Amino acid sequence: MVEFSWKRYVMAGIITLLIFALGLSLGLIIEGQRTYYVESMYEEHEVELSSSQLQYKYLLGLKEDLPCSVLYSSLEKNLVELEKTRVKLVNYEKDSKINDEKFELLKRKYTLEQINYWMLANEVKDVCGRKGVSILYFYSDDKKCPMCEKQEFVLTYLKKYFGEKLLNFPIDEQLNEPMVEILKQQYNITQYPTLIIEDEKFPAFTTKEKIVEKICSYYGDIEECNDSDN
Amino acid sequence: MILNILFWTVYFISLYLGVFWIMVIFENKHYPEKKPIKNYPFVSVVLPAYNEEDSIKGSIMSLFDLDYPKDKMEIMVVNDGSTDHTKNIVKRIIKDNPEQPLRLISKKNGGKGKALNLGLKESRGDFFVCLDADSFVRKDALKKMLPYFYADRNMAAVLPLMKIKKAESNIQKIQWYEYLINMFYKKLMNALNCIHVAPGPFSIYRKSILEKLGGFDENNLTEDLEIVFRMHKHKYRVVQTYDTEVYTIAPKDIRGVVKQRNRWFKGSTLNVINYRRMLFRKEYGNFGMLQMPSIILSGVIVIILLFLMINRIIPPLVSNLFNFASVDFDFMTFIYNFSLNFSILDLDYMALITIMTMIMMSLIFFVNSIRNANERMFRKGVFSLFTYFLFYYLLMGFIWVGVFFDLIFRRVQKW
Repeated sequence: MVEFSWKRYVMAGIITLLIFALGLSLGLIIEGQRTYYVESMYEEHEVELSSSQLQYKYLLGLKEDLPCSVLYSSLEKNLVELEKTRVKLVNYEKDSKINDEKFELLKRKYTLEQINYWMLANEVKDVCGRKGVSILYFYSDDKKCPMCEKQEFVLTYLKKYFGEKLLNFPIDEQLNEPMVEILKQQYNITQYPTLIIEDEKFPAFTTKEKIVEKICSYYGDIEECNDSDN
Repeated sequence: MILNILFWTVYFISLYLGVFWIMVIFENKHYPEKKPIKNYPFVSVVLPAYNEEDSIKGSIMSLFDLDYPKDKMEIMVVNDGSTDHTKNIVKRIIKDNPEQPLRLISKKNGGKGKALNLGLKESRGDFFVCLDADSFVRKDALKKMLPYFYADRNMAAVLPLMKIKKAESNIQKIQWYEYLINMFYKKLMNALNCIHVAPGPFSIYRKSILEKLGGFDENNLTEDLEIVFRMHKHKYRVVQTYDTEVYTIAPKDIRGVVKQRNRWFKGSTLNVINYRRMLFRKEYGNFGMLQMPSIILSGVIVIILLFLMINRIIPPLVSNLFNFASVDFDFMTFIYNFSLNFSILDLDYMALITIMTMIMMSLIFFVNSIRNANERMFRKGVFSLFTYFLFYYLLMGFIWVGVFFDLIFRRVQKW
């Protein structure tokens, strides 16, 4: 009779399940830490936004010799940081196994923050004159918008290329957020990606050259525009 | 979603099998029992040879050097219709060594199974040994291996440790590591009595059992595997020994590896299909419950891993290529304006845990394999070792894909 015992098979199964459970628990802890991180970053960004808004209100009260450069640089710096956290948030959400609702709420908060900054940037431009071109970028998920990844890449590249002269404001059209709906209706957004460069609408994927041309039409004779000509 | 389910299923099964075998390692009951021989039995060694002019002399000489009474053994070369100088070389060796019990039997080409059966029919020994004509045996092989037959009347076959002779090319060095790990794996199979193949290089069979089972399957792609399946079916025992070694020549290039493995994998799969009634049957012990399903499962797992890996690597590569093309491949702007946006929380912890557990399990296996074979870790070089761990299984994945296609389209070669 050939010897056979289930014992080893069952034990191996139990140990495998334990390793799985351990991995899952570790995953839950890390996901909790990620949520905590994004929330705490959001609090920081809120303070920065309040600071920028206060700076703007204060500048409005001044009659002449407006010290706009401080506001501009803090606005741009805050936006860069905000974008970094937003990118993390999007990636964390993709990886998320359980905290979908929490991440959705955080995404709404971050989008509202972006819109707040966008409005502030437009108001600052009116008071201090142009320093940065604003791009409102409407995107959707891969299924609805296969070109969005490429468009985001081009915008990231241009941000690196133009630095503080370009301000990107990405808006996820799928967010269940009334403010996003208002913007979509205002600009009649029907396809994705769509860019609103200042007030001009660019539906579908917009090439690097087209965006550069538009940005340079606002700036004219700056180093970046001359380089891109070459 | 489907890919995720596929990934976690494969991971769970691999983890389960890893844990299972690691438990066997720590049980530490890997040595089969043996009993000293009082009277040396008569042994017949058969070398089936088809166009082996390069290596046959070395193989025969290693048999001449065996530390075993010459009147208790016979060596038969079964020339399987070679078209090269194999026959003449053997004739010359017989002429030059009249004191050696060497015979030449010639037949029309008909495959290894037929050659072995002819050898079996002509043999006079109590034990039947097969030695591939590209393999070489150590002096003490017979004396070390035969005692295992005397400890168990049910013992049908005893197998030696198999190493690669002269691993010179990179692909041979990589296979050297593979054989080392396989040796250890066989040790674990021993503990569970589920060895599944008696390789050509110097496997010893109890002739009475071999004859009772009807000899080798002449139409089988892997007759050395089929005979072990049959032995398990009839509840006989097959063990792996560790106290002697045989050396075999591994394929020198990838083409050779692909050809050899295609035959091995295809033969294994076909035999599992042929013996499917033994699958998941407790009466066949761990062989039916674990070993047989593992043969097919290993192929399926390697193919799925290959597919997942390609799916994970190729689309992002292509999409990044298009992304960079859309900015005229201006890498410098990215380099000049690079800012690190990374924290420990950004790590893909699921991938990390999976990779870590797999690396840990591989290390446990590898370190034990090295110890088991009394070898040094970097004996065949760091490059071969890392290539083995990082890429060799990709090659195996491609070979398995080929095997499944061949089976679907019924492209089965002769031996």
